[in-house]
Amino acid sequence: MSALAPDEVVHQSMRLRILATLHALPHGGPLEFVELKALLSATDGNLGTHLSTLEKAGYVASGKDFVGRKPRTQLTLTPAGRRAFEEHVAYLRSVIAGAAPGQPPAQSQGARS
Amino acid sequence: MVVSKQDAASALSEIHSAGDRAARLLHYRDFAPHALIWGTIWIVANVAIDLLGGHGTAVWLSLIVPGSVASSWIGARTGRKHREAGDTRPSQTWRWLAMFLALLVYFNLAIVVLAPATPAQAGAYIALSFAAAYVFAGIWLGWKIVAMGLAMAALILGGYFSGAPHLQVLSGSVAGVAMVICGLWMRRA
Repeated sequence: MSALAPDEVVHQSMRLRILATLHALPHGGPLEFVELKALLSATDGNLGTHLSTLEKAGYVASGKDFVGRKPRTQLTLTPAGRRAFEEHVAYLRSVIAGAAPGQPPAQSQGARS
Repeated sequence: MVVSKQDAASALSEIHSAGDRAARLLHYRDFAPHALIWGTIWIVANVAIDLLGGHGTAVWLSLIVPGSVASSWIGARTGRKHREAGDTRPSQTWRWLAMFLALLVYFNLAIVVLAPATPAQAGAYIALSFAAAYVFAGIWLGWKIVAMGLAMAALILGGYFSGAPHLQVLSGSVAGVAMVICGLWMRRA
C-alpha cells in the first residue's frame, strides 16, 4: 500500500485508538485486554469486535494465559500493524498539509464513528 | 475511501490523546510500587513511634534504608524491562533516589525553619503537604486524586483541631494509607 493511501481497517475510530495506544508502548505491548478496555473506555463487546478485525488484518496479535486461575488476554501490535498505523498517520498528515487527495467534509466517505 | 481535512485532524487528535493516555499508564505502572512501599513505611513508622513512645530517628532510619534499597532495586528492574522492550529512555533509578532525597531534605529543612512546638504539629504539616500535592496532581490527572487529597486534609485538620489523641500516628497513617491507595489505583489504572 502506498504511504499516501488511507487504510480503512485502521481509520475507524476505535481501531485507530487501539493501534495508537499499542503504538505508544515500547515494542507495541503487550497490554492486557482489561487495561486497554479501561484506557479506551470501551465495552467488552465493542473492543472485542474491533480487535477481531485488527487480528484478521494481521495488525494485532493476541495471546492468552492464566494468572493464577484468572484467564488473561494480552495484545501486541504486530510489525505489519505498526507499519500500517505509521503509514496511515503519514497519510492523515499529508491530507492536512494538502499533499494527499481529500474531499470537503460533506463528501467525506471516511469510516469515522 | 477518501478522508477530508476535518476527518484527518480529528483522527490525529484521537491518536495523540490515545498515545498520551498509554504513556501515562506506563508512568503509573512505574510509580505504583514505589507508592506502595513508601506508603507502607509511613504507616509502620508512625505506628511504631507511637507504640515505642519516641525513638523517631531510629525508627525512620531503620525503615528508610531498606525502603531506599527496595525502591532502587525496583527502579533498576523497571529500567532493565524498558530496555529489553526496546525503550531507549535512560534509567530511572537515580531519579527515584534523588526524589526521595529531595523530599527528605525539604521536610527536614522545613521543620527546622518552622520549628513546630510538638511532633504532632510536624506530622500534621508533612501530611498536609502531601494532601496539597495530591490536590495539585489531581487537578491535572483526575478528580479521584483531588478527592483523596481533600479527604486527607479533612481528617488531619479534624484530628488536629479536635485535639485528638495520638495525632501524629493519625496524620502519618492517613498519609500512608492515601499513598498506598494511590499506588493500588495506579497499578490498576
